[in-house]
Amino acid sequence: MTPGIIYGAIPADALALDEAELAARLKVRREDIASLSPRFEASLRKVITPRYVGLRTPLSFPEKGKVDLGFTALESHSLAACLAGCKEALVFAVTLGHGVDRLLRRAALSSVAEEYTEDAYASALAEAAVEYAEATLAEGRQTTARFSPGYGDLALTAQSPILEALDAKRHLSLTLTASLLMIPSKSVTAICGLR
Amino acid sequence: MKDVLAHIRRERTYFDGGFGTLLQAAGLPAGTPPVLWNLSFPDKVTEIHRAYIEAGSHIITTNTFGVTPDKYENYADIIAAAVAAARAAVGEREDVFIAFDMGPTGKLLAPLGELAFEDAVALYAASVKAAVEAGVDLIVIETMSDTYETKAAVLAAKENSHLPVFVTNAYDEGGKLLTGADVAATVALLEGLGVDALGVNCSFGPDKMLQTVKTLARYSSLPIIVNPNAGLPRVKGGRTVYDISPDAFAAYMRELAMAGATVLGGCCGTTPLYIEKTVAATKSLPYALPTYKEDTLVSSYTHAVVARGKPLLIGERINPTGKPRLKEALRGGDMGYILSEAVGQMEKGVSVLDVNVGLPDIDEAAMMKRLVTELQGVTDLPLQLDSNSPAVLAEAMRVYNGKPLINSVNGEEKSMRAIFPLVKRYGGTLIALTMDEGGIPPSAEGRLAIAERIAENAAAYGIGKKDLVIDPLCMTVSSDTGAALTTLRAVALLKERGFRVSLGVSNVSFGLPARDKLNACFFASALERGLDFAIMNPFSQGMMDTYYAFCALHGQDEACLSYIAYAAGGEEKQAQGKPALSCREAVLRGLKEEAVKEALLRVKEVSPLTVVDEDIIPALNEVGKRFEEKTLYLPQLLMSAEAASAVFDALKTFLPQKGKDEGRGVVLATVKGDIHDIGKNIVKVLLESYGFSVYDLGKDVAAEAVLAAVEETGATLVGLSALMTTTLPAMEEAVALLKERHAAVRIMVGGAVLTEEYAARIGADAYCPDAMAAVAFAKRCYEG
Repeated sequence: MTPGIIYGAIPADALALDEAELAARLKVRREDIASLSPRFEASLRKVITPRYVGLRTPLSFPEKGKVDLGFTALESHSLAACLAGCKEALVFAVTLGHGVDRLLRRAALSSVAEEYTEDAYASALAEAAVEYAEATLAEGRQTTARFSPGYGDLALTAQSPILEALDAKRHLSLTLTASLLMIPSKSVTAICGLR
Repeated sequence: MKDVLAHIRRERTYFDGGFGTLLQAAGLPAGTPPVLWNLSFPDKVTEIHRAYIEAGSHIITTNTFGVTPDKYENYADIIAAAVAAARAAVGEREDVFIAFDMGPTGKLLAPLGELAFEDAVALYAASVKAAVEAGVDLIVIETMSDTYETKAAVLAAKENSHLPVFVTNAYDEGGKLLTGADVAATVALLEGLGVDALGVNCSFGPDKMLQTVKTLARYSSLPIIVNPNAGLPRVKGGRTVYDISPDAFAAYMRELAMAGATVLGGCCGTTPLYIEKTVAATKSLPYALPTYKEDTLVSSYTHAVVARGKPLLIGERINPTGKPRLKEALRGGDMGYILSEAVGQMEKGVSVLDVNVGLPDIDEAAMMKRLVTELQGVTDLPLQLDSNSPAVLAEAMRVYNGKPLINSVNGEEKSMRAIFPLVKRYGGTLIALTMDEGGIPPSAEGRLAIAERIAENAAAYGIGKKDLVIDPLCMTVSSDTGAALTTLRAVALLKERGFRVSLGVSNVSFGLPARDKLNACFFASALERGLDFAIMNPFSQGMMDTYYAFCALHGQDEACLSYIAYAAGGEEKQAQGKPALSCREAVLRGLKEEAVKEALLRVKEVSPLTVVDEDIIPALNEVGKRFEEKTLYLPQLLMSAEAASAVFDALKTFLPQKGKDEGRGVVLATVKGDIHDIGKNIVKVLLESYGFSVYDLGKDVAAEAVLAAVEETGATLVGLSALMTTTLPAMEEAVALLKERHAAVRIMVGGAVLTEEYAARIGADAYCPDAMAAVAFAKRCYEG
């Protein structure tokens, strides 16, 4: 086990759905959220098994546009800008678990409207899981904005060393496909600086 | 040959503890895989083994966690060195055993992940062969969080060695594996596969394992292994430390031993001191092996279904006999339709799904394997694998993730000789039909006699009575008015002799009108006599009424909650049955069932084309317009589109049959490597709602498959979707291939990362930022 890894289950009731986030994902107005059936959230909550894994790592900037996380060095001007001024970073991953993917596949069989709506709910809940994990791992310290592979000029290939360092298969049953998609699909990796 | 199982039968047996932290203390640099030290510093490895033996461990595990050929080319050398290092520590000790340690592959198995089941078996098999060559006393498969990967490892161990196989899984705080399996499901799988001991390791400390160990003790007939971490890790001064001391650990282990744990040891963070204290704390406790459990269990990758008083329903709808639409789906590989049948039955409340794909003109084995895998991607119900062919059953049982029901064996020698070895190898609960070379005995006593003979033969293979469910067979009363009575009497006789009993209920009414009425009454009589499983159609209202009423009346429905929920569902349906919406209004509101109902009423008065032109198209145009104006949202638009598609489907039989799509076909696919398909599915629904014929190839589709579909269907429009920068090259490749072979085919592309410029650069004819744009382009292509 990599030293310094912290992991755990996220209590389901710790995840509050952010209506603004959900509205954005559904592409509807926030005031229309209330008219949606509560069953979307209820069926999702029945199948989620949210977990997180994370580590704190020393952070350095060996040259312009390069970020050294100790276990890997990443080339990205936008990530460097995001983390500028920090000496330590949090690297973490969260997942809602495999049950959600099955639920979405079931929804897709009956109706794409169901699938689309349920998918948006799941994404919003995954975002809540990210918030929870960051708050837990930061232990009260101030953090920078979060950054994920695929944002700005940070290549998606950064997923591999991050998930490896986190031993994400073991702690979250989270793996990458050959084209760098995460399974379970409602999973997020993130890096943020500790101030 | 040392016999670890004899040791476990005789006295409490102790495992060793953590390895990585001790190697780090001995100087292993952070980041260096511990297994490499087998080759470079074998003495250090031996020293750790020796310390554990001195602390009281009987089983020491080789330093081989995660050594498979895909990760280490020299895996055989590493394994040989690890075993040699362990043997150096054991010396002449007769009461210390070397366990070859195997962990997860690090990859996720299909259908969730990308590693094929047989490839996983092969990886483990190579390691097992190397370990057997090096000479070990047993194999321990540990820290497994996926039942499917566990099954692959166990099969590899059993197929390539005669060694005892122990398995410990990593459960979470709630007593489940990360891939969802609970304790009962895992026990059912592992006992079915014939492992020798099972249990729990890693994850967290012994302080949080009591409930899991109690549940293991409730279900397992095998010795129970408990190897916890020294609590949860935290970082202190840059080092990982664990929060449970050796003394506290030992105290918890004593509690777990009293709750039924048989074999004790440690995992991450534990040291020889933890084991020494554990031995001291538990050595004098009374020692007993788990008792034999009589439960009849079948399981999926998440949960087990236990036949225990409450009768259980097996959904019979996935069986092509007498179902033309299902036959067509099986021949055409229309998995969507078959999977919907599964989900529909699941929503009706069945506990198990029967899966039979026997058609003379298809490759039954291939279809069965594919369907079993795909079903396990959408439903967590246990499956009943149903085929006349033992070869088909063998393949399905091998890839099934869980302990299945198997339909069936019978009293013929030939049948028993073919089926029992399969159950012995892969695990399963058998439906046993009371017939043999002489046919079906006319009397209940005759059927009981066959059941007893089957049970005797099964016992000779080591298959217990609990893994047999007897089906005394039910003939139709239309040809023999005594048939139902004989079967009911057989049910009662079998129950008296302690058998589990199942029936295919609806056979009783074959050849008679209003079959549901007879089926329901017969079902009630059989339930009254103790029927455990009913193979039936959950869409039959009469039988479902009977089932819920029976459970409520027989104390099998706590506070009648299931009955109340069932009854409420029925009333809602009736209330819904009254609306007087027009077809057009129903489409506007996205009410699929109502739209179809109204459309079917309308075609009695007007032509189907009038329904399309006056109701559906105007309704769709209206929702489309509102969507553009942002007064209506995508989910609502989709619901309307789906309602419209359902109407088209229903009207198909009334509309003039067209030839090969008359130029309105559209081939859709998400490109190779990409598994996001919501966007593509949305486009599909909207295109269908406008009457286009969509050939949906699904996701992760190779360029060649798109080309083949174009050639086969004659469609002249293709839609490709990609959501990731990493899969854009696959889109480019598909466009290039299509343009090279069929210059006239037009291609529209879409997906989150696409831009107009990129679409133009790769030679696509249109970039569609959303689904309505795709509809507009399709209309332009086909309608000018």
